[in-house]
Amino acid sequence: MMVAIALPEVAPARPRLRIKRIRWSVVAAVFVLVVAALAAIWPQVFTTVDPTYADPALSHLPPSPQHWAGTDFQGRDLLVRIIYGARYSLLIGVGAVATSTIIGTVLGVTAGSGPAWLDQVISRALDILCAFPGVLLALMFIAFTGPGLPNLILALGIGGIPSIARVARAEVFIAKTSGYVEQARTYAIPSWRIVLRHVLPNALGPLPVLVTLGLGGAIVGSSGLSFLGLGPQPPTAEWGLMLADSRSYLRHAWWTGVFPGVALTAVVIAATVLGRYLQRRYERRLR
Amino acid sequence: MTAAVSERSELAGESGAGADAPGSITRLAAARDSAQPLLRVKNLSVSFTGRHPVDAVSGLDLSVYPGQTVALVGESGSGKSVTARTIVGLAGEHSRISADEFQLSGRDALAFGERQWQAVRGGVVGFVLQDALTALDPLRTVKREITEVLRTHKVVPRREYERRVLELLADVGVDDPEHRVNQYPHQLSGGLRQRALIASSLAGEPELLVLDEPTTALDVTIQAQIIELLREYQRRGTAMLMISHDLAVVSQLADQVIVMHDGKAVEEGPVARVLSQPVAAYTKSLLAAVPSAASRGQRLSGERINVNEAAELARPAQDPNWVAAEVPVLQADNVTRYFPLPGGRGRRRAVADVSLRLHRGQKLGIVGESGSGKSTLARILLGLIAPDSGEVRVHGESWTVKDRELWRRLRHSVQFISQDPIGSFDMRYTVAEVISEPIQGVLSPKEIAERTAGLLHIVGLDERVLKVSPRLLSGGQAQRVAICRALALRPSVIICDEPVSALDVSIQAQVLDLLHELNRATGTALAFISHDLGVVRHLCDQVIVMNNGFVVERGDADEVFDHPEHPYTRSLISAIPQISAK
Amino acid sequence: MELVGIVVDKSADSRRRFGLRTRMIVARVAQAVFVLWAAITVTFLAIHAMPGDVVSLLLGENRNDDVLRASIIERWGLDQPVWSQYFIYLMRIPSGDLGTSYTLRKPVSELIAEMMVPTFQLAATALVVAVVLGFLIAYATTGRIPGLRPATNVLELIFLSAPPFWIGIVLLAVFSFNLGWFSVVDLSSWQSLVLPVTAIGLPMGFYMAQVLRDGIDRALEKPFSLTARSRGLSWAGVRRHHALRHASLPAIPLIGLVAGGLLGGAVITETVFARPGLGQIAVNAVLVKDIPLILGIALVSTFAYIVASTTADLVGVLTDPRFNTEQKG
Repeated sequence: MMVAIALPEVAPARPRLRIKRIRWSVVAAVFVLVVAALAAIWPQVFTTVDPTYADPALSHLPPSPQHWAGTDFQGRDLLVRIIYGARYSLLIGVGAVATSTIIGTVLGVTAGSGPAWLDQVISRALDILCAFPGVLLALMFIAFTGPGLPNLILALGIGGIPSIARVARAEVFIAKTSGYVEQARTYAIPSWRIVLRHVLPNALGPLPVLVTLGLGGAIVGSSGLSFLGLGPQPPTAEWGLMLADSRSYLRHAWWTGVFPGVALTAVVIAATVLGRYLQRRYERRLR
Repeated sequence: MTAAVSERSELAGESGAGADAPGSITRLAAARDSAQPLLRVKNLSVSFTGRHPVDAVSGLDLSVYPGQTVALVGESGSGKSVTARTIVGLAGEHSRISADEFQLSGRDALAFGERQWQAVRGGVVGFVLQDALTALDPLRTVKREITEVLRTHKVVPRREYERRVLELLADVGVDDPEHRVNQYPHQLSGGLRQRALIASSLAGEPELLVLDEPTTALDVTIQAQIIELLREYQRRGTAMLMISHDLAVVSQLADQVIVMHDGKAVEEGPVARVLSQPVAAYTKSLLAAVPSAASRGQRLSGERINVNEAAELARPAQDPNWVAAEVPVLQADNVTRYFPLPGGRGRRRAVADVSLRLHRGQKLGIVGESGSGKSTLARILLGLIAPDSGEVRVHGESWTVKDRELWRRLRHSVQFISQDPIGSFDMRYTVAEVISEPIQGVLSPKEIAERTAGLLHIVGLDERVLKVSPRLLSGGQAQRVAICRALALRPSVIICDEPVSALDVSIQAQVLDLLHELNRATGTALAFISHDLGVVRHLCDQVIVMNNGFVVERGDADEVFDHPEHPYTRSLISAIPQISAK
Repeated sequence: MELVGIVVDKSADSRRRFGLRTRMIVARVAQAVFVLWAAITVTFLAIHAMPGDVVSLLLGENRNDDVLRASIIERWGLDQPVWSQYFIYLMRIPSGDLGTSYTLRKPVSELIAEMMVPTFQLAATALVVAVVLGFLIAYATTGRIPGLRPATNVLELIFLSAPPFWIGIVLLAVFSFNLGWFSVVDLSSWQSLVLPVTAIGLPMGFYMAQVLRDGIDRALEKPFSLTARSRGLSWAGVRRHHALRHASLPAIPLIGLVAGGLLGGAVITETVFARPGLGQIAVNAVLVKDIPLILGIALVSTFAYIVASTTADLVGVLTDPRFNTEQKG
């Protein structure tokens, strides 16, 4: 109590107004994500070529004005396949993040606002989930349920539950013990209303940040599983699968191993940059 | 308390023989009378570049002579702390410093490079930051912290480190130094920590000690001990530059005082003259703003409210069942509350057998040091925490009442103002939404808007703040909004938990005046919790003194303060620094 | 910091014999044992929650082999009630009997013991690289070398975003096939480790660096850093003697987390570099639905992960003096 008294004495005066700067990195990140989303939903905007059209005569052509990213062993245009590949990577990534966000939030909020025994049960369950290293958890899940898109999404989504649930739980606790909830109680506002009006909106504030930052990880995870052959099967165009194919030909066709990864990394970087920006903005709002 | 006395007497005993003894810590200021100042600064300006450019200090002159203590006094943002950091060359990365003259110990500090500064820091100038809990490295023992200075400045050979550290600790009045040297800051009490910090700043045998709010983070009884310790070093001839917002502490320690405001010195002179016959208007207002026994019933600031309007808008709701004047608006009977200790290590009694009565229009002060249980008591009175035994009654009705409607009306008649108003606002709301939240659903939207605007007017805020986010408010504005919100439901009692302790003295004065006037105009009773006896003495007519959860003394404010009976109350009152030149 | 305000009620003395630190250690070990038990139980439940009968599930491709079927029923006690099946399972796992892989026709424990060596070799080397690299990068970037920090930020963003298996592919293309520096064919030589270790160690190193650097930055803003500088310590001195320790303490428990990540990363990286190891048999096991093998690998790596993270947490608790709440005087 006494410590807090001294604080204003030390804190330098902070100007209240900020000049809005344009953050080009954020603009670029949004651009990359929009392009990727567009390619995932409507790849025909970018190309009219069929991603499975193979011409053995065109096998392993290096990048050129006709084939910007070169061609693969079967003579398929790599750029076209990268564009079409966005669909699976994004679908699985978004699906996995949605899964972990929904389940994680429900669990976290329940643990944070429910009775103590329920909090204990949920927290211990999360501990157990955390005990399995992420990739192995997904492998185990697929081993039991078999391959296929929904299983892949669930396998990746489950691994993301604990981190979201723990943040949600902690935020609910912070909001629950905050000064504004204490005040609201003195107005005789019913507690369910306090939860709806103050606790949930404040506790769920950091969710967009977690979702954006989690998206990158989920996309990496989904491409990893595809890379291992547990995702979509050939001849589907998918980034992880394309990279897996490239391994046999790396010696004479480096581009097949590089460009799909560039696309993948660009999307993940974009999600990370946007997520960090949202995080900074969120943290600034709290101060 | 007995420990404190022995610490003090031990020091006094040493001072007689100690000053010239070999191994004495301070260099005796043989040059005390010489005209050469330790520190001379002419026309110092410090500004910060970077994203938020600020002129922190402009045109400051400052000298400290050997054996002298100079105090820089001012409120937040006055530039006093920046000045202190500039003196040791630590103003920060984005600072720009200019001065016509900047001499430290006879050398030109403007020409110092990083190496020279490193030799000066700790060796020529010792620096004491305000809160020892954060100013000492929590991961290091006291011994390592002090040894760091000895090693950096090669004060004594390596094999003598241990002996020297023990000597230093004994010198600053740490009992059982052999034991304490191996402890970490969190294992020491606040007073011992502060002593250890002072010991580390003296280890390099500096000529000048810079103290940045050396007692601000301490409880009042510990503060008195530290002031006594610093006086001991003054007697031995240590020169000091101290930074403080507390005029009373300054009057106890300083010879010269410089009053700073907005980065400029507005007045300077001998402490007796400046505090008794201030010339500058700012100094006068600062002195007038200090609450004390003498200021009782007077205004501390220019704050004034429209009495009729306030009475009209915020008079306690008149419930026909509650008109009986002899029923206290708030009453606690033998309230006790335990808290479990972390990790199941038993429980601690936070509030013990407390009873109190608060009648219509009364102002009750609840006084105690940190950990005395006063904040827990506030939450029990508010009905936010249930007591383990005992009962709290509002208008004669217990918080445990079953009738939901009656319970709601009880809630509405006890409102709360906390120490941290910003933390008590939901940041997603606008100021208008914050103020009107209690009356949402009670009044019609039109009435709500009118009432919000009216209340805002009473507390002296412009209607334009209604649309802004509360995070843009200054500390004083935020507390006014909190008062507004507390009044919205026409409560019979407002419980205030340290409502002014985070505020600068001039803002504190305004808020105290506001609370006083509102109480007079509306008859709303106040339960005012504070660690600051001056504030309570100024504002309250009844007072209870708490220590370790118990009420040790209660009664009429004048009676308790003038004729304290309990030893704890006496020690508390005698520890309050008074504004009087030393 | 919450630890600081603890006021002990002298009347409740009986439970004070154990300090906060002892209680934290006991609680952490208890948690580890609980999670280990829970992990075994979860795998048991998973087998039984699957559609179809357990024997066919365990047999996979060999489900029509009657001899194997009979031996499984005997070993798993599948003719007994579920409760005793559970106890048989619970007793069997800690004794090291993880069942038999019917596709490879070998005991799972034998298969894992064989494949564990190269995987742990890879993960452990990568862990050392990650920690050393983390400290070096963090220390270098908190110094006042102009331009170093923005450059590291870009590298960090790339390495933390790129999937480790792609980093592996690029490294392979550049250093192995193009420059021919590190062969990945001869698995017995140390050169074959360089690229896989880089592929997973580098991203984790940048991750550690990020955590450590934030910690150093935070510590440098604390009042005790100002105090240290006011004693005449140089910027580098404050970083070395004060900030680095403050940054390391919260990073120690993270090493456990990183170890888990590396184990997972190793699984995929092994496939990239065609190295034998747990990863390779795990992926094959999933593809052919060799359930006993998958369970064995999951349990063993979970065990390794729990041991790593528990050890890291305990080291963290033991090295932080703030957990020592003993008031000596």
